[in-house]
Amino acid sequence: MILNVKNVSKSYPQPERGNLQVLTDCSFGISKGETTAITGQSGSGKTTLLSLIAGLDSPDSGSVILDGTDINGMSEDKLARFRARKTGMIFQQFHLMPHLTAEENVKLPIEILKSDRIEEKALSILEKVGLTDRKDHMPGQLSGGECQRVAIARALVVEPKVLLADEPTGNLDVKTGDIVADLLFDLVDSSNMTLVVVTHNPDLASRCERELTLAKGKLV
Amino acid sequence: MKLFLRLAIKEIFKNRKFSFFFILNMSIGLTGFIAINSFSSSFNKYMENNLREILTADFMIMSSRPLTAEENKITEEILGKNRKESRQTVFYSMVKGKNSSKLAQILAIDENFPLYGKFHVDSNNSSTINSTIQKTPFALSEKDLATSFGLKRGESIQIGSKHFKLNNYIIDSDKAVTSIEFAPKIFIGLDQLKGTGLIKYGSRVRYIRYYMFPDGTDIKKITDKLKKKYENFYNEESEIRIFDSSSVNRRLSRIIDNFAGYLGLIAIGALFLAGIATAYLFRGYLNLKLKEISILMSIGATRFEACFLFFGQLFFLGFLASLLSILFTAFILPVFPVILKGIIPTGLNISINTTSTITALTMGTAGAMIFCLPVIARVYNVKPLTLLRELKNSNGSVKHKVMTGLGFLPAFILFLILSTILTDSILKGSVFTIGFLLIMVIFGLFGWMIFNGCKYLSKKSGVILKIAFRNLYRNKLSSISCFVTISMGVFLINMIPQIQHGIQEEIERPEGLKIPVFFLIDVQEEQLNPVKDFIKEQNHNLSNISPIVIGRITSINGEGFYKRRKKMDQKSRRRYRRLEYNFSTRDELGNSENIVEGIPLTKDKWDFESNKPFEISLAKSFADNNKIKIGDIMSFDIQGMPLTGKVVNFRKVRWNSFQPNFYMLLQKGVLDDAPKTYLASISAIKVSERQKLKNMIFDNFSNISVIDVTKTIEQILRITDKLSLSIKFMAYLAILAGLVSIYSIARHEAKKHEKEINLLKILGSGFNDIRKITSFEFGFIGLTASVFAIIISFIFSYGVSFYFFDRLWSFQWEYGVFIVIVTTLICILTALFATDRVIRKKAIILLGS
Repeated sequence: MILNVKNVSKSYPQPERGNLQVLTDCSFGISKGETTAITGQSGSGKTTLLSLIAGLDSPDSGSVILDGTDINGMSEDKLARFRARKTGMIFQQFHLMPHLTAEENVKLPIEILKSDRIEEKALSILEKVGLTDRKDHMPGQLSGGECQRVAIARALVVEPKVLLADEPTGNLDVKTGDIVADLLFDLVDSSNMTLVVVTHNPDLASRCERELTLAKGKLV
Repeated sequence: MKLFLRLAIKEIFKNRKFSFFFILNMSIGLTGFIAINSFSSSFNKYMENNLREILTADFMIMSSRPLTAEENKITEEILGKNRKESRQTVFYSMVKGKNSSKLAQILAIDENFPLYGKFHVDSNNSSTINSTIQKTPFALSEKDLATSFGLKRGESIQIGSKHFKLNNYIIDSDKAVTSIEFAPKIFIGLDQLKGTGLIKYGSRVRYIRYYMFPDGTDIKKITDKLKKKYENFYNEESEIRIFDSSSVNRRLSRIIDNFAGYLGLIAIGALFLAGIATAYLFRGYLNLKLKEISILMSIGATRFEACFLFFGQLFFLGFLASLLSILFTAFILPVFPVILKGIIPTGLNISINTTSTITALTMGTAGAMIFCLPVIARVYNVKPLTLLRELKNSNGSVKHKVMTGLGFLPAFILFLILSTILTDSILKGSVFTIGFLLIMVIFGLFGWMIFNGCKYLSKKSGVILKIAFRNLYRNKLSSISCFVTISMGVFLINMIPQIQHGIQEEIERPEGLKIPVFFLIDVQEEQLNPVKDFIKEQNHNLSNISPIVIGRITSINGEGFYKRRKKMDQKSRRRYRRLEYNFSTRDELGNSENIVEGIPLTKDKWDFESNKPFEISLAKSFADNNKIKIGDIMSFDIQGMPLTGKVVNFRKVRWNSFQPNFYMLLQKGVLDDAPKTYLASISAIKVSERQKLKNMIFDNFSNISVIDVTKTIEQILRITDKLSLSIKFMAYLAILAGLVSIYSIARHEAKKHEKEINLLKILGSGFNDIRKITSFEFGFIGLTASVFAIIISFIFSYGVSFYFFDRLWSFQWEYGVFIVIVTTLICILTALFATDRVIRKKAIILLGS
């Protein structure tokens, strides 16, 4: 198992209303190279589960074991580096650095990790996402689809063990969404990468090997 | 870290407008500070290089009488033979030229003068001039003085009963700081002093000996040894004063140090105002960057690296601001010699030196980081989780609050250190720092109250005012920052002239007082009646006739006065110990003094045989400085006669009333038998008659010195004008820093409200409505801030005048009203100018966003 989620629960304090239980006793495992969709209605706890897997938040109880390491016991700085090496994140709103070019955005995580062959890796992944000719453009000069492709390239450039995607097509039109999804799955397949995708989109979910459905914070 | 530095530089260039305003703000704040620093260090360097020439020797011995044989022996014994010596006798006297008489400082020099430096005269015989004036009655003066006497080279002036030929003109004789001089200088040969008949009893004469030693001699060791020897000889109460170059430096630098210190404090104020504005700008910038920090952290950056990215930016921005401030300073510095002409030495070259450059760079880079530290603490609250969920980075975590609180500490410490350095006193520095903070807190509280009140006003107003008040209320933090910055600037601008106005008014029109026109000093006892009659014949009255007896205080409550002073001086780090004092007596107190504690002196004459201590009245300031209480017993040595008295009252003396006043007034009868001189004054002399009367006094009583008080006041006012101009200049710099802040804040607020402004346009508001809202918002901030600042500055200026300037305060409302109007208008115009671009943007950007 590359990812093991054991009995994870999470709640958030609500002003004057006590705690809001978002996830309750969730457990599942994901094998290396497996593609998994997490689906469910709005407010079912999908994004919270993804944030716990990514180590962006910590569970109230239970554990998240990524590539054999329990990420909940790590210090913030260690976790930041661990996350950068082991996972890639793709966001619904792309979240690119607005003042960096496409190429610079892609280079950024491997520069932070002080990898070797930075230039070569960045250009190679940009070529794979079909943006070689747009590499010097700023995010503001790119279309939504292109921005998401840059975000995918940025997530993949560190060659992560697990790729985490939060509604990767949620901000795109149907056609562009399909193109981006095709690209995402092609790249994942070709590198035997594990993919966890949170989505509302049934088409996107159906393309995954496995689907986990959340309802009121519980896996059903 | 290289990556983050690279990113930092990139961010600076990508956010050009933010960077521009940040640099501009910071550099304006720094400019005053760097200018003062350059001025002070240039002055100190000048003093260091010219000390021996200023003193004209390695050290000097000064006394009010010629050295006795025993004192000569002590001096010879300590100093040895390997030295050069020069003697000088200095006193004030009336000097008569062709058609006028005036008071001059006579310096009778020997042929070795000056031991260091040159005696610059306007002819080629500089080297021989000294020996010439020893043999012949030649006098040397500055050309201006000769002109004022109506004299040409070769014509005669009369000093005492002797005529001297004006031989050469001195050029640039004074390398020292020019303090207020009562009289111009005239040099004569020491051997020519005989025959002037001027050295009489009571004449204020200083006998000076200058010494020069071979290079490498330990001057400090010699002077310390000599001082100690004299102290032992006189049982710690030496009548001989010894000055080496360091003590001269201390004395001469005091005026400039105080002046530079005062200006420096205003400069620190300006720097911190700019700092507040800069931190505000940075806060807005950082708010926009929080998402990017989250992104960076989500792809592996640590929190420290995220902070480093911003510290890197602040470092570079601060560095660039320092460079710009150095450039600004280079433009400002040439103004100093023009403004301070006549106060600073003519040879003083004010420039930006290495120390100032290093200070600028350190203050710029460190200052930028320190000011923004509380803002950077926000990075500790950033969570990458916000990228997944539409959450805001909350401000609530305890860690964040602690970090923000701690973030203010370095700025506070920096302020304290800078103020302490500039005032050369931990106490004064702390008082200034706490005072500055207190005023800021007061303004902050006022601002908080005002902008909270806007909530209620918004409910009761029309649409435009409603929106404007609501903006002010909802953006309370920005409004308060703006309010505090403007009010601090206005506070400085109004307070300084307010204090100055009070003093000036007192000098110009003292209520119930007649400022004398002439002071007559050194009137001998036997001359008193003839002088009185003579003045009466000229249709004037001799008033304020005060006997003066010179004496020494030997002990207070049995403790040696000199020892006591020494102990107190060590505590207060003062070095000046006065040995002789003037004692006087008067039947009635003058109207420039009043008893503030104790009972009036008895009208009964003191009986020498009674063995009872006589009564003493002390000036309050003198009693405070010497820690003397009512009832204390003081012993004196008056002309060799031991006398004892008891302090019965303290008087508050208005020294700047220019009336003859004394630290110590003794009971009637005490000074009757002591040899004395008289001081008197003449008031109400028409300007056209003044010179004639002066000439006549000289013709009849050549030993009596006449001080033209009105001229002295004019001179003081001229100097205060120059000093206050420099102070105003610094205060305007503070205001400029405030205005740039307003511009930056207004621009930032407009940018922040871009969507709102465009939404208003879509909802039907015209450009004018939006302009009205902006004008009202910033006009309201400007108006309220300046009104409160003016009120607070009036209160503070009253406090300062009350405690430091003898309650000299007069309400000058016109200037205050002017400042309020101007500040409000400037705020409105600046805000309109800053927001114009945003207002003109097309509402379509809403669709784009």
